[in-house]
Amino acid sequence: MSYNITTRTRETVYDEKAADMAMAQLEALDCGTLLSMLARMHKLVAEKTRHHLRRCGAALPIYAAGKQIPSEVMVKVFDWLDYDSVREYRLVSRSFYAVLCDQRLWTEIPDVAYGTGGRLDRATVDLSKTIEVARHYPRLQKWYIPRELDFHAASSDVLDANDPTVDPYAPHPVLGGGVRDSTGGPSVLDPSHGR
Amino acid sequence: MTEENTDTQMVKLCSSDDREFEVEAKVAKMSVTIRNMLEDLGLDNDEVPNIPLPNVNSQILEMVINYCKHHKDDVVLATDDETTRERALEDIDPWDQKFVGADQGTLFELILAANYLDIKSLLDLTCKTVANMIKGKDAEEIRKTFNIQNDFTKEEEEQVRKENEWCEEK
Repeated sequence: MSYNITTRTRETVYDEKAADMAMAQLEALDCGTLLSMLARMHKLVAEKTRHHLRRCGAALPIYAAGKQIPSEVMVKVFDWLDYDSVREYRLVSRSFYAVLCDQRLWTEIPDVAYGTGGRLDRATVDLSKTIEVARHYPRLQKWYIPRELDFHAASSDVLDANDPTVDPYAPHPVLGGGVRDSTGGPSVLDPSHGR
Repeated sequence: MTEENTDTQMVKLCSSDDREFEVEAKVAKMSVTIRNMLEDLGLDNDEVPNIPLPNVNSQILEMVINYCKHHKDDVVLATDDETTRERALEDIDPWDQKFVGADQGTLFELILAANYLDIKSLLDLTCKTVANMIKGKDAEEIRKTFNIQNDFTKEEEEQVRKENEWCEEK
């Protein structure tokens, strides 16, 4: 095993003692338990890394052409970029990562979540479908939809469909058809729905 | 006092290196920061108000004033429409294009000045120019452009990459 993770930054220090203690506890567990923990441990690592990066990245200044640029100014620059660029530039450095996770660059769709924890097919991320998916999967986690998806430019019909006061089982104004069948019914993820 | 009087009146802007620029109030007021300062001072016809701008040097201030003079009669389009915005990224007026055509250092100083002086159109223009400059580049090219050190650990970089892949187009 490589303990080489300290080479690039000061912050990530490998704590051998803590790791040994954690490993000793893990060794007491049987194979099945360990396997069932694996996915959750991956998720935990991802969450902790994200949190760590956002926190320490936010404290770092951004320099451009030899000048220190406040993060709120960088947000205004990044605001002009498309979703793919924003995603790519999170890989530049910690400070870029922190700025590019800024809420102001993302549009949150209220009360609508997306993704079932699996891989997200970007082709299906549009507002009307998001609404449909959210109806079918009530236990979805919170998900941010990039601004370029034109949430605000969506037609009022589509926005009405997101209004909780509107009967959710009425035929969809755009997709048509009803979703009355609570045991399954036509799903937007169903390939027969076209696209 | 009427709005017209205040607009033709002159104001003095003083840069960080103590150079004074006398401009029409109408030009100066394109900066929300200066407009607020003038309102706080309460304009009087007899005196020329002196506005200190300790965050802007004379070279940049001169450029900003030129920009404001050129655009003082622009109609402000109050549009927050995202679709108009999208098109606008490519669409930069030729005068403006020449104006921001200076070196990167000047460009970023202009951004900082526009941000401090709160001149929305200039801030949009300069931010758009930078966005156009970096659009389509990959992370490594960005690091070169801005002279940025990659300070991720291997594990962190892997994690960000995974996160990116997860929401990537298939």
